[in-house]
This record gives sequence, C-alpha cells and structure tokens, in this order.
Amino acid sequence: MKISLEPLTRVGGSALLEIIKEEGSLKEVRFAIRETPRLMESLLIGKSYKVLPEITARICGICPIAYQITALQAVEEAFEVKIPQEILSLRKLLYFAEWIHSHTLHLFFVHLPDYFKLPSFLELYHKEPFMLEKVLYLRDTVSLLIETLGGRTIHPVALIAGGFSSVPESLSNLQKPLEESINIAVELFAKLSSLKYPEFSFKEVIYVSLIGDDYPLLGDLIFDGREKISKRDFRHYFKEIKVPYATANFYLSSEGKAYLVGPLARFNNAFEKLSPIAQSLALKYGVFPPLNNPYRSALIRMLEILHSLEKSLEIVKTYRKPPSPSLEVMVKESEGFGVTEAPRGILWHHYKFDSQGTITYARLITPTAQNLKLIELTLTELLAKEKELKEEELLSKAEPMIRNFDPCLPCATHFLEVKIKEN
Amino acid sequence: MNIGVFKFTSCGGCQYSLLDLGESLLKFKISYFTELSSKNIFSPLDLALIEGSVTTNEEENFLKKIRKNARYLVALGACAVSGGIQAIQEDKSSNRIRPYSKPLADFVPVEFELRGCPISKHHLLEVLFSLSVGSMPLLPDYPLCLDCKRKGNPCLIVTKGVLCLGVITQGGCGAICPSKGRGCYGCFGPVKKVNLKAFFKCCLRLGLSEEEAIQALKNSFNGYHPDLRELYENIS
Repeated sequence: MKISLEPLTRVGGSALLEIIKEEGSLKEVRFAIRETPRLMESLLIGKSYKVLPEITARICGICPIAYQITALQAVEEAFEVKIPQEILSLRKLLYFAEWIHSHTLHLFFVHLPDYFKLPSFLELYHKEPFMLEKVLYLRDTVSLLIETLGGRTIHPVALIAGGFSSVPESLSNLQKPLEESINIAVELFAKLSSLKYPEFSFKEVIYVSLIGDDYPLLGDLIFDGREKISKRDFRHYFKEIKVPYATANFYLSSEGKAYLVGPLARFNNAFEKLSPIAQSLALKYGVFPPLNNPYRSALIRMLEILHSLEKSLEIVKTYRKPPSPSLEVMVKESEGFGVTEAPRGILWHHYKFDSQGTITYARLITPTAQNLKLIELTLTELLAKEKELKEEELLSKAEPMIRNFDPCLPCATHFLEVKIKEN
Repeated sequence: MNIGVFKFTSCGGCQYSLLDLGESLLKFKISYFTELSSKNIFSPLDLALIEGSVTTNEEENFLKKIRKNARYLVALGACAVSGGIQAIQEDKSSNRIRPYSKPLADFVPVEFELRGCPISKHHLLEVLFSLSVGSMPLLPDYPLCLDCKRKGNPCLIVTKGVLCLGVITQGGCGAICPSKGRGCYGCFGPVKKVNLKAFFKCCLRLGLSEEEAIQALKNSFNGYHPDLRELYENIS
C-alpha cells in the first residue's frame, strides 16, 4: 500500500513523501521530488567557458556564489590560471558571506519555527521580535558585503574567469558591521543552545567533506573519515542511482552506503579548525564531535555563521586593493574539476573544453542530491517507530526531520530530462 | 492586502528576495507561501507573486487555477517574464530550437512584470506599496544606458569596445554590471520597442557576427521573451 503525503512545506522546492506499507507496517519512505528540472548541463554544451559563472549560478538562488566559484575553479584548472592569494581571499570573503546568507535563511526563516511549534517565521517574529532585528542585521551586513564585492546579493556579477571584473578600493565600510555581527552571532548561539532538541542519532553514516589546513571551504581533497580522495577521483567515489519517483538522481558511496555532506559532516571532520570564538563557544556549550543528532544541526549552522563572520573580518581588516583584478585566460583543449563546500556541502563540477574554450562536456554533482538517500533512510527509521500516528501527523513528524538536512530541490534536479508537454 | 507566493520552474532566488525586504515584509498579509510557511490557505488573493516558467501540464493547470483566484498577477523575474535560461534548448544535431519552458503570459494574462534575474527589491516594494494604497505601480521602461549616464559610468562599448547589452535592455537595476566593469548581459530583458537592427549593426562594429549577437541574447536569461522570438526562425 502506498500513501502520499503532500505538499511538503518549508522545503526549498517541490516534493512529497510516499509511504510504502506492507502488512500494516511501514516499510519505506520515499522522498518524491517533483521540482521541474532545467537541463542545465545540456544547456551549457556549445557555449563559451565565459558563461559558466552566469549560467551555473542560476541553478540555485540561495547559493549562486558556490556555483560560480566552483565552476571558475574548474575553468582555471583547465586553462592553468594561477589565482593570486589576494584574489583568492576576496573569493573566500564572498563565499563566507554566502554561507551566512544561506544559513540565516534556513535557520531563522525556515527551520527555527519548528522549535517553537509555529507554522512560519511570521508568527515566530511576532513572538520574538528582538530576534528578527538581530537576524536582519546579520543579513543586512552580508548583503552589503556581497553587493560591495559582487554588485548584488543574488546572482552577483563580478566573478569572472581569472579573477574579478573589478575589485573595491576599500572594504573599511564592512569592519564595524562585521564586528557587531560577531557579537550578535554569539548571542544568537546562546539563545539557540537554550532550545530543546529532540533525541535522534544516525544509525550509520559517513561524513564526507573537504579537508585541508582550514575549516572546509575551497580545496581539492575530499575526506570521508577514512581516506583522502582527489577532486579528480571523486567521480569514482559515488554511484548515481535513478529512482522512478523523483525528478532527481540519488547518490551512494561506491560501496553502496548513504553518506552525508554539509554542516554536520564539516563539523565532525574538522571541528578543531573552526575560528577561535566559534570553537570556544561550542566547547562552553558542550557542542563537539562526534555529533550524530541531525536536529542539532541548527547549532552547527549557527557556529558556521560565527566562523564565517570571524574569517570575513580577518580578510576585511587586512585588505589592500590588488594591483590587477584579474589574470589573462589563454584557452586550450583541456578539462578541469572544481570542488568546494557550498552551504549545503560538497559541490563538484567537471567540464571539458575544446581549443576555442567552448564547453564540450559538463557534469555537476550537488550537495542536496548526495544527501537524498540518507534523508530517506532517516525518515524510514523515524516514522517506522510511530505506529500510532495518523497520516497528517506523520507529515508533521517528517517535515522537521527533512529540514534538518536543509535540502535545496532546485539544486538537486538541475539536469534530468523530463517528459515535455506537447502543444 | 492578501498575498500568495508561488514558484514554478526556476532557481528560487526571486521569491527569497521577499526576505530582503526586511521588516517591510511584515506589513503584508501572506496567506500562501509553501516554501516559507506550513500554514497555507488558497483563498481569493489580492496579489499572486509568481516566480518561474511553465514547463509541465501540471504547472500550466496550477497557473490557471491561481489566475482564477487572484485579482492581480505579478510575474517575478526573468523566468516568469521570459521563460528564463531554461526556455531555449538547442538541438545540436538539427540546429533547431526547442522551447522547453515558457513565460506565464503565454498562458494567462499578467498585470505586472518585475524584470531581472533576480528582480530588484525596490521594484518589488514599489508594486507592493502602490497596490496596497490603490495606485498603479510605476516601473522603469527606459534602457539601461540611462542608468549608466545617471551613475556617470563611461560607456563600455565606446571606451573599451566590449559588448554591452545595456543598449537594448530595460534599465532600473542601477547598471550593476557596467558599474562593476563588465558589459550588461541582459538579465532585465529587452526594453520596450527594442531596436534589434541597430543592435546587430553595433555588434558588427565590435567585430561580432549576427550569430554571436544572437547567442548573447540567448544567454541573457530572456532569450525567449516575446519580443526576441522573431530572431529564431527554426523553432520546432
């Protein structure tokens, strides 16, 4: 017997849940994604490498910078452009700002109403107006940051192959707002720590994140708790599975296991690399690895906001305008790989180019797509225990769990071919 | 004013622009917004804000249902206005164009269009506040060049010889791209009474063929705008 629960709310994109029952007991929960794919990879073929930051950004309105920087990493590897440290710092600054922008959206506007048993942030902020003020201050700060560097908050325009189209004279206007934001983030973390989080622990999980000298962000080595994998070899790490009920592909590790990317994976793999205030605050409130309760991912997102603010302030304080915003790009027939930590986890790009710099091959693996299998397994485990619950109660039990994973369905479904209606 | 927010085929960026309105957002009654609320009532709406293009029959039917239910319908951004980047799929073997996804106005009447990929929050505020006091919103209908003149940006076509779609693109964004030292890529779509002939001449002078100029329009996120469709004779 199959029961459909819909629509899923406060999830980025369109989906429903299918519950499969056998002899009265729950056997399987399916994450039936209904988001319409936009065939982004096939769109790219035949176009110049120059359009990559513009077009890949449009896969996601929440994390466009992640797509831009990952695509540029692949382009710059392919054409052997070595980006100087000061330009790389500015890219990191933009990326940190996007983490904050995305995490505050999910945490305070999407996820937090669950912990207050409210239907949306609108009701929440009539109840806790001071919190809204603080969160809006954080968002205003990072919007200003992204606009200063990129021209606008969503789909910024200044990132190009070789560097930036232009860089600011000064970033001193950002210092005060960032300092104030750090204080606010500390307060908000204390507030979040006082909430009650349901108990739950992953039965079996592999945490996959980037690994390097810093807390995961850019880089080229991927770590799954046992071994380090190069970005080039990562394509052999995962197995793609097609499922008939979803407009997105699912992924397993090559040995057939569900794995997790994103804040919890980064935190468990690289806790000791968090920035000083974030780390000491985490220890003070008893938040440290191994942390296997997805409900507590809210706290990890808040720590990552604080980490990003501290790192941003460092970059802003030492900023001096680079002599040149970009390096020249000489195209050639080649291929390149990009991998970075988008707010939701590992984002992996692979492109091939002909001698004119025209794209001949494109493949993108997104964080949400990699988490889909673990979301299903976790929901199955969660709901199988709830034998007494009615259908509508099942949905209200399942939704908060799904939100722990912060899935972004436009990202997960960017490429699949669907049946097109005929006119 | 009773507002509903809906999303079809798109990236989600425009609807989240609502959050960038900050506390102004709390002045309005939002009764339907599945991505941000678990309590959604599909009651008669004063205003339906719709992001995304229409790809499937389900989306087409839902759009018609929203239309029946809403006094004003607002297309939010390049996907809703022009079909977005996903609208045009090129069949490499036959060299034909396949309209994969279409703008809202191909299916239902649309009262207001907010241009851009993403929309400008100032334009969104203009629509929300004007309609809430019963006056007609005033949205820009001039070319982007005017924004550059106001900001004192030197013309990139003239001074640097680079392609800038600003000459045929609707203004109002504040010339974001030229202000960052790069040509406009057209995300606000073609300006009213767009003069494509003059645009192709301009491209020719920059050393770009008509084919390259058309490619730039296809990449503009508004390639399937009704005013640009005449460019493609080989639509299948």
